[in-house]
Amino acid sequence: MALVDYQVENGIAIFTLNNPPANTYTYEMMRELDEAILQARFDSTVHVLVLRGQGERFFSAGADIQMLQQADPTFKYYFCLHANETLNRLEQTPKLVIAALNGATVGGGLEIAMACDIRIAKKDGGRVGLPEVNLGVLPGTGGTQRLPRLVGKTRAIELMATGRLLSFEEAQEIGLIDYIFEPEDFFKQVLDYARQFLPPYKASKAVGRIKRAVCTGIEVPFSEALALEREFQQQLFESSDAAEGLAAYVDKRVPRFRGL
Amino acid sequence: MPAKFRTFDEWVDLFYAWQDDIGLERSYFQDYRFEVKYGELPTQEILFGDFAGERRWESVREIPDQRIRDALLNYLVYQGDTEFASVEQQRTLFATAPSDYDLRALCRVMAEEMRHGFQMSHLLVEYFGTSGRLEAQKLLERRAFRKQRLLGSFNEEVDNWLDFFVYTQFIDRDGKYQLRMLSHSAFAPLARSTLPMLKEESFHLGTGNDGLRRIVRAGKIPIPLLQKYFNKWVPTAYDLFGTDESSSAHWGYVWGLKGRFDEDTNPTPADREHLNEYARSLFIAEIRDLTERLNRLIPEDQPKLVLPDEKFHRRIGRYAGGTYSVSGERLSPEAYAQHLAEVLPSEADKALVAELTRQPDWIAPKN
Ligand SMILES: [Fe+2]
Ligand SMILES: [Fe+2]
Repeated sequence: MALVDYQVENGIAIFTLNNPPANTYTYEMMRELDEAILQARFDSTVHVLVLRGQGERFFSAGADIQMLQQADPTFKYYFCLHANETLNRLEQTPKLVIAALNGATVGGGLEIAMACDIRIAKKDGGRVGLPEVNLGVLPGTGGTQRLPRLVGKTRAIELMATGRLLSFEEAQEIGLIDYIFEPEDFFKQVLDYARQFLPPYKASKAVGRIKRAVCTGIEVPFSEALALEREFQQQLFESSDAAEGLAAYVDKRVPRFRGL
Repeated sequence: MPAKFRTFDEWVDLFYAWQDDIGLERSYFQDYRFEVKYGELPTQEILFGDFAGERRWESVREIPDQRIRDALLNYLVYQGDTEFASVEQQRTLFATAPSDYDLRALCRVMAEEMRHGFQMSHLLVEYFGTSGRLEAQKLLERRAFRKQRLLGSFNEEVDNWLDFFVYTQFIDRDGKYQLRMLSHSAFAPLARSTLPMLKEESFHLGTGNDGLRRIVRAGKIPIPLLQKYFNKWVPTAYDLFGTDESSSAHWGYVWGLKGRFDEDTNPTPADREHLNEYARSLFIAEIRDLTERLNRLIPEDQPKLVLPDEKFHRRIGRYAGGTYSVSGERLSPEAYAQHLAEVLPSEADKALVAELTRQPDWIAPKN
C-alpha cells in the first residue's frame, strides 16, 4: 500500500496517510501527498478533498523523528521547504479540503490539518497540539503561522511554548477544531458532511472560490483582498453554475449545479 | 464545550446525576460516604526513572516538563474511566444476587469503584484546571453500554453473576496491577491516592476468586460453561496491559509516573522496552496459580479450567486481530469465526446461565 492512499468516491477525493502506527511522515510521504493533491486538482470529477489517517488511533504524529535525527541540515532544510510547498498547494487548491481527525493529531500532523479548511475530530480519538518545543525545535511546517491565524497570537504562543496537548473539546472551544463527531461510523459521518458541498445541490466552484478568496485575501492588504474577491466573483458571474443558481431562484425550483 | 461546573462540589452534583442517568438504585448506597482518601507514602523520594532521587511532585506546577503533565492527565483519565465504567457494567445484577452476602459484596464493590472514580475526578479537578474539569465531566458522559469507554474490557457486557465473578477475578485483578504501578508515581497526590484504593481493590478480586471457588465447589455449573466466561474476559485483561514494546510505557517510566509492579522490591534495572510485557507476565503467573487452585476443587473425572492462550482474541499488542484458537493455534478466518461461536458465551449459554443460577444451590454458601 502507498504512503498516501488516494481514491476518489463520488466526487470526494479521499487521502489516507498510511504509515502505521502513528502515520508519521517522511520526505517520501510528502512527495506522495503532493502528487495526490495535483491529481485531485486536475480531476474535474473531484469537488471536495478529505484527509484522514490510517487506523483508529492517529491522524498523524508529524514528521518521522528518527528520519530527522539521521538527516543532515541541508536535507532537513529542503524537507521542510517541500513540506511547506505541499501544504501551500492544499491551501491554493480551489476545492474544499476537510481533515478527518480520526486520532491523535500532533506536531506536523496538526500542521497538515491546519492547512485544511475544516477540521472534524473523532470524539475521544486523541489529543491535539504542537509539542515540538520538547525536542528543542519549533513547529516548522507552517505551525507558527497557521496556529495564530486560527486561535489568536497569545494563545498560539502559549500553546507552542508549553507544548501542551489539548482534548478535542478544548481545541474546539478555541476554534482549532470545527466539529466533534461520535466515534461510531466516524468516517461515514465525515463523508456525509462532505457530500453537502457536492453538485448538483451545491455550487462547488463557488465553494472553491470562497475558500481561495479567504485563504489568500487574509494574507494581503485589504484593498488587494477586495480586488481579489471581485475577480473571483467575476469568474463566478461568468460560470454556468451561477446562471443556473440565479435562474432556479427566479423559477422557484431546486438548482442543478455541475461545478462549472 | 467548556466544563459545566467550576468546583469539585459542583462535580459531585454531576456524579449523582450520572447515578440516576444510568439507572442506579441510590438506596443501595445510602450508608456509603463518597470521600477522597489518601494513604501515607513510605518515602517522599522518586524511586525510578530519570528523576530518581528527587522529591516527588506535590503539584502540577512542580512537574518539570509539559509532556509529563499531559501523560499524567492521561493516566488519571484512563484510571477514572474504568472505575465508572465497571459500575455501569454491574448495574443490573442486584435482583439476581445469590445471597444477602453477595448482594452486600456487590454493593461494596460498586460503591468503592465509584469512590475510586470520585478520587480520580478529584485529582483532575483540583490539579488540572480547565482541562482537568473537562475530563472529569467526560468521565461521567461516556457509557459502557454504548461502548464509549476507553478500554475494551469496560465495554463488554456483564450479564450475570458468572460474568461478575470472572470479571472481579481478572479485570479487578488487572486494576491491582495498574494501581500498584501508579503507587510508585512521582506525582505524590496520585501515589497517595492509590494506597487506600489498593486496599479496597483487594476485596474486589477476593470476591471474584472466592465466588469462583464457591461455584466450583457447588458443582452445578458445568465447567465448560464457566470456561466460556474465562475465554470472554481473560483476553481483554491481557489487552489492558497495553501494546508490546510500548513507547508510552517507556516514557511513563522515564518520567517516573508509572513504575513496575514490584518497583519497590525489584533490584534489577527495568527493561524499559518491555514494561507492559513484564507486568502482563507477572499477572499471568498469578492467575495461572489461582486457576490451578480452582482446578483442585474440581472432581477428577471432569474437565479442568484453562487460561486462554495469550494469542487468543486479542485486540491490542502483537497478536491483535490474529485468528488464533483458545489454545493458540492459528486458524483460517472461517475456522476462527466458527471457533469463536463455539468458545465464547452465546445467547443460548446466557439463557442456560440464567436458568442454572435460578436454582438455590448453584453456588456454595459463603463460609
Ligand atoms: Fe477500582
Ligand atoms: Fe475494583
